[in-house]
Amino acid sequence: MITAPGLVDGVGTISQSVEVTRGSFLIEVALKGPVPRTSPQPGQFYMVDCFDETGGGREHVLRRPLSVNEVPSWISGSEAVSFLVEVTGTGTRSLSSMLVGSSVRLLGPLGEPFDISAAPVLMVAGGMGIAPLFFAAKVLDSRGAPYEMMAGFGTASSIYPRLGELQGALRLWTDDGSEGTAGFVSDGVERTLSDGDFSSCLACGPEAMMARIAAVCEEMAVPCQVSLVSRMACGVGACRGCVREARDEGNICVCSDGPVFDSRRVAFEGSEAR
Amino acid sequence: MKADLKVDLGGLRLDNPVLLASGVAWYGMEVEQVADIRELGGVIMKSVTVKPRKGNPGPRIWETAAGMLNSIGLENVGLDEFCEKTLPEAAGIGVPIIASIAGTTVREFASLAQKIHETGLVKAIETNVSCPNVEKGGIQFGVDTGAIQAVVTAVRENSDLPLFVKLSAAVTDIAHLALAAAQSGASGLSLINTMPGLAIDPAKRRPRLGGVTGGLSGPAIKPIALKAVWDCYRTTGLPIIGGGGIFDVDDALEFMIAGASALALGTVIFKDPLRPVAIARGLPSALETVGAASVSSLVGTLTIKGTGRENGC
Repeated sequence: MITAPGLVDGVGTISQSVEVTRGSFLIEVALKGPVPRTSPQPGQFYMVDCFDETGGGREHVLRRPLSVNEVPSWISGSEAVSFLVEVTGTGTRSLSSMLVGSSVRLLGPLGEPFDISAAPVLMVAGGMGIAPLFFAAKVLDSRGAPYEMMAGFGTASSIYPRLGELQGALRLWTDDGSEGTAGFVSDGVERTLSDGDFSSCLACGPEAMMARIAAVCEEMAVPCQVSLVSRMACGVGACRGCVREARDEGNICVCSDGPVFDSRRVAFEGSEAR
Repeated sequence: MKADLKVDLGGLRLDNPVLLASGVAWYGMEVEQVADIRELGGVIMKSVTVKPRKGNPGPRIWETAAGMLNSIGLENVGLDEFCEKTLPEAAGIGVPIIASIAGTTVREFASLAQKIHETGLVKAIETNVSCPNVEKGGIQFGVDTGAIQAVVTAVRENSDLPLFVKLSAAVTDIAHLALAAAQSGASGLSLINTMPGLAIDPAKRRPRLGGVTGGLSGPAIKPIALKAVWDCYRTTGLPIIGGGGIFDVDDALEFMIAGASALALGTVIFKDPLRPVAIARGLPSALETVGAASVSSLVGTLTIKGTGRENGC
């Protein structure tokens, strides 16, 4: 069923589900029924029902917000969307164990996307923060726009294996030094920004990482956008479940005002930056 | 013949009994982009307080077995913006609007009712009496018969709109409180509010919610809600907006049989935003299957003869 312009609440079929690194799955969902009037943009997400309907769907009442990792076939004409999902709890465990051919309900695309118009773009991903930034990089590749991707992971075996597909400059960090530079990816941001001539910075990852990058960008006057994570119920700004405090403007609703925000609007949690 | 869905709850006339419960739809406009809520009987709006409230720190929601906890903390725009901006916008959707008011003093309830009544944009008022009564040491209005009577009387003096008192089932005897509402002039009852609950992160030994405790909703509380509706229906005979974990038309029928004339759907909208409309559409044939020609002919028809139950325990 088509709802508001561009928004679809409908049923999809899992067309692919691959464990790309230990505990992380790339799950592609082919959308059935009416074709959405707009395709998702990098940074947008879907509310995905991660559970099958046995028992009338009463055991688990909340869908999970999953950001789009790629629109594999929108570019080539049909309707599918893929998610990079790390198993962290019951919902993601359930979704990752669903077989190809299983039906899932999903609502989207939702939320404010990244603005990727100001190139060259510096992208900084920490861990699963790579999910929406990979999509942004793919779109920039399709436009031939310049960017650099800095991606940090815990260890070599947790590096998202599809990063090699990207055409832009790629630099890797690992916490344990098993591949790329040892340390946190945020360690390299200041240097990269001063060496290069970047028009914008996009960051997605742990809160402390984004806080540190936001601070560096603010100091160097580079516009920075961050993609925030929050537990959500409705995904459309109705329930106020994902709301957090902004720096100056009261509350911001992560699902409908975001999830992508100008970093200057965000009051980051915790003081220790990494 | 198609079953009659029209209901009249103490002057609140609805084309069908399916309502969105207070809290899940903010002010209705956000849900309107997902589902055509004009097919519903109405929307009970997010509770409004005299002053704007920022609400609680996050996390504000946590999924639990067959339900969820929320700790939004009554975030809302406050009475002035509500009347000047929010209500006119919501009224523009074209679905009957019921306002939910939450005061911390009896006088606040009175001014909320008065100002909202004056807009002429709402069909009824629901009082959220789950707030602490600051004049009585912070005890909730809803657990104190005297406070309920004072609130109902104060609202009544300022508005003759149909008035529903929303009660919590986390009390010793909900029927006793319902009777207090009935005796002081409430048009009906709204049952039930969420049940207080706690979720813990064992690794951190911390609560899962920023507000520490939250309100449990969803299928987990349905049996509690059904009993509350049944108790209050038998005791007061007042029209009841019933809800708590309604997920399909069978749940809807159960609430009607227990004594509810209208239904408040909440948590289900997160599972499936189109389900409330689907339930409204499915009700006529569901009523037929249980031999009811109308909603009103099914309300309060729970049969307990021959169950072998003894009095008392």
